[in-house]
Amino acid sequence: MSLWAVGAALALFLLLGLLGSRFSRFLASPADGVLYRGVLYVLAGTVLLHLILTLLDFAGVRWGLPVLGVAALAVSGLAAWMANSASAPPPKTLITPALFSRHALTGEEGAPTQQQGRLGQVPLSRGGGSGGRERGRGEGLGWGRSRIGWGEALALFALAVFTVFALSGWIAMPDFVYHWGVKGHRFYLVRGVDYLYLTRSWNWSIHPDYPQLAPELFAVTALFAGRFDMPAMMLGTAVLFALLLAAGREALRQGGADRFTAQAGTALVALVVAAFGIGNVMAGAPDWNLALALTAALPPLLRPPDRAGDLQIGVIAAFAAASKVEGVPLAAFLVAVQIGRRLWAERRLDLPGALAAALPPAAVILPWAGRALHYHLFQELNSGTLDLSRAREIFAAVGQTLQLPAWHGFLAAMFLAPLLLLCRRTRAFAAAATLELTFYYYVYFTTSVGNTGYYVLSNYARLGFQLVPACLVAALVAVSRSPQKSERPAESPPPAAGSDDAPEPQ
Amino acid sequence: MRKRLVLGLAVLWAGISFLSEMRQAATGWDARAEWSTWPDSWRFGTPQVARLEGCLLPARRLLPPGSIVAFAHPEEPQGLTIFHQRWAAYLLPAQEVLLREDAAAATAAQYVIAYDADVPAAGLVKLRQLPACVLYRVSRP
Repeated sequence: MSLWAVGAALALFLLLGLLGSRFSRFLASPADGVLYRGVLYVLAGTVLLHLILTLLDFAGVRWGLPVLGVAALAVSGLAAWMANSASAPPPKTLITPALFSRHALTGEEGAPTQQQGRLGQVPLSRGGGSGGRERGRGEGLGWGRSRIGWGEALALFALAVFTVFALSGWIAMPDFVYHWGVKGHRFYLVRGVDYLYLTRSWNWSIHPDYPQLAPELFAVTALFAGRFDMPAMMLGTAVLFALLLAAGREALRQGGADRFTAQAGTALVALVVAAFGIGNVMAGAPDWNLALALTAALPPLLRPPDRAGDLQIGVIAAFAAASKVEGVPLAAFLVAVQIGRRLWAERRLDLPGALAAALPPAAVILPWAGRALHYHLFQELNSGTLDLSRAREIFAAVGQTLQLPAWHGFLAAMFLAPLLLLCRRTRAFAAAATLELTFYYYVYFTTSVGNTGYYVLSNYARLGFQLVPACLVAALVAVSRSPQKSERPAESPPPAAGSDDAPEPQ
Repeated sequence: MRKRLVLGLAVLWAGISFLSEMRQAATGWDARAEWSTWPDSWRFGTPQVARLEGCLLPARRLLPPGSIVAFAHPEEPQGLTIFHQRWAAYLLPAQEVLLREDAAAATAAQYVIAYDADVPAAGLVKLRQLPACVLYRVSRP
């Protein structure tokens, strides 16, 4: 293991976060904590890197640090120009955290309404300039500056152990060897996506039609390190794990979980994810990207829809779509749910908001689909006719996978997604997660892979991994009860739709 | 209170699960020198991978970038042959690796690596004996 290479991998993610933070004015909601802003910035920076690399490929320019540096500077300049010239509206926050609420904030910026005052909400600064210190709870610092709790300590321990095993290469995912890693190494060597390589008939097994973000990140890590170093690539997974924990912690906070639930929830997610990540050898797998995307989507989906949330969902959806083929439908579901919430709440289409949510994933998906079609990369086994007679075989394999030792029973948490539809505040998340779960089954019932049972066994545990962390967090939010519900004075105004789900003060 | 109890038990179970996986992984890592599996379960640091690296890392220096290499390997149970090829492709990222029995190999391959395997000598020029393998150049009329 080369310390230089591992340091370079870490530096890459820091730089990506820095790049993404150039758009903080548009991306951060005043309700977001510092760590979660970091998550969003890294995701945004990663999406920007992917778009830059895609543009370079289209232009026929070989990837290199100088050209990437120039592109990053250009993007930063663009962000500064946008921030200076745009008359960005103040972040719209709806009063109630209830989802699908018809309420909209119509008052002056920062002027607390009756209900804001009741919930102790502080006036929020424009464009998220509070630096994450204001939580919208009247608590000021929220959890951001509290001491590390027992659950967070356990989570950090689990993360550290996972990182050590990942860096050793012992828990490197087989698919890292079979296709993700070799594609990354190849792209590094040729300084671009090697479409000739992808079109070779004997390379059908490397999923040439998949979106390329994961190999691109490996390639750029190698550019930073000066060589392709396996432990440096594994460190990327540890970073994704850390981001997932930060996103889950934020969702619990914004979801109004009490301190015990928040600590226990953070520990639970970390231990479950680390156990499966180690036991099922998951380092280097892009499934982490989708698990992170879905968890990071929780805060904006738990909040009432707002403009910052639109862009957050857009960036998260773009990240998912760039990561893996099943991230493309996930992106579509996330964007559809966010736009649908807007429509439901405001009874009109908020075009700028819809564009903020839809354009980032579209910018990722359209070039990917165009290239894949142009080079005939899509494979026949991806599609087929619906065959319901496979049900017995599919569900037998699902039952077998649910007993997988590395999951220790927690895989069943993926089925919480449809149950969470019953809870108003988790409904938006549950809608996206349930659609994604349904999509997995749609693929099983339509794929032209010969042995469906084997096919399910080969990937169901990993697909579940994409859903389980976010479902666990959302379930904890759903069962968190606000004391305000029972303590609400009798003379209080009638609650807005779903406002009985208000978060409790920390 | 009941919610706390259930949640606490879930965390406890997750902690036990985590420790169990950690112990198993540490045990496996310590015993990696005796790791003995089919290619679908090879891992970094195992003797099988080290042996394959012993063959392919020197071959890297002898094969031009972009060259197409047919990989011949010992008999494996059906369905496992591809994993050998994938490991070989990982270790030869600058080249293109396909299975010797792939139909495209007959026309496209420029080199052949015979790893613990005998290959018919017709049309092949032996370039180098490497640890555990032989590197050939394909000679076409």
